[in-house]
Amino acid sequence: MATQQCVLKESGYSPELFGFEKIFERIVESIEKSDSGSRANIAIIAEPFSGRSELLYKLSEICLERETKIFFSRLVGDDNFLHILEKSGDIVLVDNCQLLYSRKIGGFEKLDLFLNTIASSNKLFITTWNQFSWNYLRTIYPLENIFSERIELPPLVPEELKKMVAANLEWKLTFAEDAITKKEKWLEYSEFPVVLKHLKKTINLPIPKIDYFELKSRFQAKIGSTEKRDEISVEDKVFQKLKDASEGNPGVAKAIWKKSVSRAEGTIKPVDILKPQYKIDINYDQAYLLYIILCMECVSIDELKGIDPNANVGRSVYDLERSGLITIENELLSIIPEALHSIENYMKSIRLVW
Amino acid sequence: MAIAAIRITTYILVNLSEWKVLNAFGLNRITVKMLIPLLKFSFYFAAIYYILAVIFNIGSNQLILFSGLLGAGLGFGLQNLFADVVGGLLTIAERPYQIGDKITMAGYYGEVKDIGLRVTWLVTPDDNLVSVPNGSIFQNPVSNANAGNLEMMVAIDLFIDPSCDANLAMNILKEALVTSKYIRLSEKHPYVILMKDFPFYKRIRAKGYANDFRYEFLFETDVTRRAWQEFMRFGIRPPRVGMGSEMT
Repeated sequence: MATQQCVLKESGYSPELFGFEKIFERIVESIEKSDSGSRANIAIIAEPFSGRSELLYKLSEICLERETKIFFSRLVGDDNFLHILEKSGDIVLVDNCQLLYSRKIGGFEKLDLFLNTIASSNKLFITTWNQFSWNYLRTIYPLENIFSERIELPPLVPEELKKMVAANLEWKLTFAEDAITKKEKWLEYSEFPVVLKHLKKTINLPIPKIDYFELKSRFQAKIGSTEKRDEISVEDKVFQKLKDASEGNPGVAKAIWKKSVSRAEGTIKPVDILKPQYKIDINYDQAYLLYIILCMECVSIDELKGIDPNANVGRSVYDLERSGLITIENELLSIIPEALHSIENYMKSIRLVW
Repeated sequence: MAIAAIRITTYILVNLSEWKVLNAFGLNRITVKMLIPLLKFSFYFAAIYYILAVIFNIGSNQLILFSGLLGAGLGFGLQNLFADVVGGLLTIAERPYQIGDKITMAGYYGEVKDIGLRVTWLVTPDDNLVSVPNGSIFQNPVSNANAGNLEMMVAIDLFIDPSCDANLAMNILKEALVTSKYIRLSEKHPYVILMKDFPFYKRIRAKGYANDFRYEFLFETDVTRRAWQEFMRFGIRPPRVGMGSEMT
């Protein structure tokens, strides 16, 4: 597998946790239970950029005092991985388990061995999985039996996003209301192109999009709620918007925040928070390659060629990159964080994701 | 007027059914297309009612006379037409198939393109448009491959030489199936690999769901092609031609 370079910062990296405190406590409890003889392997399942790896890093800090082996992405991709696994301590942390398989004939060998090792081992395995890969693999392998404790990471709430952003702020940022004259609309229309084949024309149909936050605020104001719209601070409005735009995904939120702040020039208003919208117009082969990137999170062009040898991978990758859906770094492909939910919705519409 | 209304409605619904945005509302193209025959029949009957009741102002006496004429007409050879119309009505009511389904009807296999008052239009895999009289549902069973769903079970048979390792072949075929870009896998859509021993060959059968029945043949081709590539790599051969005659 060409995943050697899919590495998070490993040495001296101590991420802060925002919002996963309860989950963290739950895992610590499981570790304690495992000490008393009731072992339940853990699978932490979440979409890309959701902070899975950060959670595992945080866990590794408390596990370091024990005889623990930690496998980060780089090691999971290593061919020697299973050999090292046998020699590890009583707790094994494995990050990005989706890197253990490749969607091709003969691509499940490493995952097979890994699952067999877990099944015959007395060690506690704490693993992280890409949600899309997990959903696919659980139909082929009895993953629920092997990982009896499954934890799905919830989306962050605005307050948690605020803490996360504040922890990474490099300069003082001020918040301001949107211009008074421009009252925010709770209902907006986006254009949806419809191709009329017989007339050889494309018409744009208006698709209504409801701003639930705005609608809720107006509703609360009308029924005399204690939390009236005007009483919500501008800062809260900004982070509620960030939450809506990112669907509470920390990685996506970071990316949107970065882009929004770069436009804002020191003072940020709710209207400055970008709402990523991608019109995805690709063929099925390209969509399948995009799906693989979504499932693996980090994949090389050579690996894509191995998965779909008949596809024109080079040209497809070029098209996907040009559409702003993926990024290429050190010859490794990954999804652009802001595009994540547009891609997910598109995959659902063409039935590659369910 | 009714025909124009039917054409316009059909055109709108057919185009609407291809919108990917439908998915967001839990709909798919078949759920939209199933409205077409219902609306079509409503338009036809509204038109007939309008002509008889409003334009000709037919009363009960005339209606009895008309029924008598209809009965005579049926006796003189309109019974097939009548059976087809009744068959069409039953198709709407009982829904043994809908527009968009893949069915076998009166010996023809294809996607239901339209359900008319008299005939059902099928598009065969070779892109032939076949009109099958609706009345044929009274004489022949109708086999529906997807029954209103977009997913469709596809059975893929590969035949190997009896001396080859069937377990290895089954494993390869399983991996070819589950790694296909066209497969739909879920609890509702499982897969299975089967093997049957015949005198001069072994049949390895894979059953899985294509995520859209439009990919039925692409799915079959994709799995077959990749499985045979691997079979060859591991020395799994197809049955030898003429083996039966050699043995006799």
